[in-house]
Amino acid sequence: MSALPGTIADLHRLIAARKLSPVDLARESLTRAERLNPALHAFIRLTPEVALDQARAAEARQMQGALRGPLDGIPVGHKDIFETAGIPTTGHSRVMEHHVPAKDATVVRAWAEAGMVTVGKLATHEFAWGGPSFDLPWPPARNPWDTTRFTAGSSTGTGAAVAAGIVPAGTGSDTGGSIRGPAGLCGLAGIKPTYGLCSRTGVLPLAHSLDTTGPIAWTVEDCALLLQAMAGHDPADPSSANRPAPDLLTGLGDGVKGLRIGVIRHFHEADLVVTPAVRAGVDHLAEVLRAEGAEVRDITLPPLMDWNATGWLILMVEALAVHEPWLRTRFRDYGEILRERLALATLVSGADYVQAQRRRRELCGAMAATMLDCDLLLTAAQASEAPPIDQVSKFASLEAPGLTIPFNLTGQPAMTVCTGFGEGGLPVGAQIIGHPFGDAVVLRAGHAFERATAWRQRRPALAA
Amino acid sequence: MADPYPEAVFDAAMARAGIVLTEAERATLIGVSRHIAASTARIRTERPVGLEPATIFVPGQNT
Repeated sequence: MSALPGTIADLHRLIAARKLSPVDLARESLTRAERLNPALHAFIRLTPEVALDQARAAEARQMQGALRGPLDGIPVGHKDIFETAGIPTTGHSRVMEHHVPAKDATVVRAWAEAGMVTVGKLATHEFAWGGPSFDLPWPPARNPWDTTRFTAGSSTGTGAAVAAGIVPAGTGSDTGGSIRGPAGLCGLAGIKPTYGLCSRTGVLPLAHSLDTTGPIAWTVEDCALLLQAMAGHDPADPSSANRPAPDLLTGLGDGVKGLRIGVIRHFHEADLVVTPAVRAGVDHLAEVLRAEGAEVRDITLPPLMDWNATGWLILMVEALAVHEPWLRTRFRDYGEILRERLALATLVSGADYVQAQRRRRELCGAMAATMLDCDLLLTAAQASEAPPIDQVSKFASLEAPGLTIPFNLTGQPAMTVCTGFGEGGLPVGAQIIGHPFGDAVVLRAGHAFERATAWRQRRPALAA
Repeated sequence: MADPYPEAVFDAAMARAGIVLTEAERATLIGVSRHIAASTARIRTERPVGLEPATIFVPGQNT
């Protein structure tokens, strides 16, 4: 009997009851990867030897009654900007094609210490920004709901692999929406934690003042299990918050009764007009949370375009600072999309960058004032159902505002949940946003929504 | 929508970064530069002269 696709919570129950062998589970994950990857390109590298070694160790603990917790023996993939000791970490780029790190990224190590089994490295937009690209050493990942469609990015392979049930979870990074976008278009749960909650040490940077790391999984409950193992202070990361790791699990099932929720309706209905299914999904989310006992009302923030202008200018300049040396010497080794985006970034002046950081402070102030009366906010996660992968504009983020970057600017936790299905049976998603370090409340609301609805029962046909 | 960056400004930025573009790339990016111009204009609101950027930090915390 096959264990995949399955949730972490379900797989753990089977492992804890000794009804599922971690070695058999790892083998099944690798077999699924070999079968599905030619169509999905979710993985750029499988690591069967590492996986089976880790799975055997988990199985030994299982037999000794010494499991380390709910993640022990669970297969996982890592986005290929997360460094993995002895395993190439390339950023999906020719520029770092032969880079083999000596150490694991802090969060990779944290999941390994929790007993997770690394099945392979996952596709990403080049250095978490350039994609979907067809001129890199590996092709772009495809959406399991329809392989002609885009996964969104930049955590493309994570979205594809989890939606296809190859692994129940994977790492993502989120600088402008790179966890929440793939979670939305692939029908998953994904949380961008509060900036500073999870270490970025050993993760190839995109934009230092915006970068976060977090999990993508099938359910909110799984995200909570994963984030609990990732969260915590890392002295090696200057952005890491020096505070105790929060308890994300004890209150997960407490529901939303009495929570005050603001819907940023103008973001997705006026500033950016989303498709009917996406809009209906946000309304559905709000109605379910209201029925569960939350107080829901509309709120107003500065225009979405202001958040995007500020966010993208900061992101572009900080990314340019990372890549500047290689642009001089290896410009043609980058894919077309990333090298052209980085070239555009050279137009932004030092004064522009500081003005953007000043505008950021104003926007953070407006958000903080709004959050005085709200525990959570809601808006859409993406503009539409997944578009055809060959019709995504090179400069899409400049041509139309996105719905996710506002919460990278403020550092708030923001999660995507699947709110239903639209054109072509493709999934749609909405965001739940909380107070800084209020990640537990965001997860509580997402879990309440999933518990009250049946969307988690539907998987892509390809995943059967 | 804003105008694209003047060609001389664009060429100077590429030269300073050491980036050599093909003519086709240059033409594309000059056209797209109107979005950068629009963004840099949008962030310049009326504000107190002393407003601090968001990146200001407290010495001793994470330093």
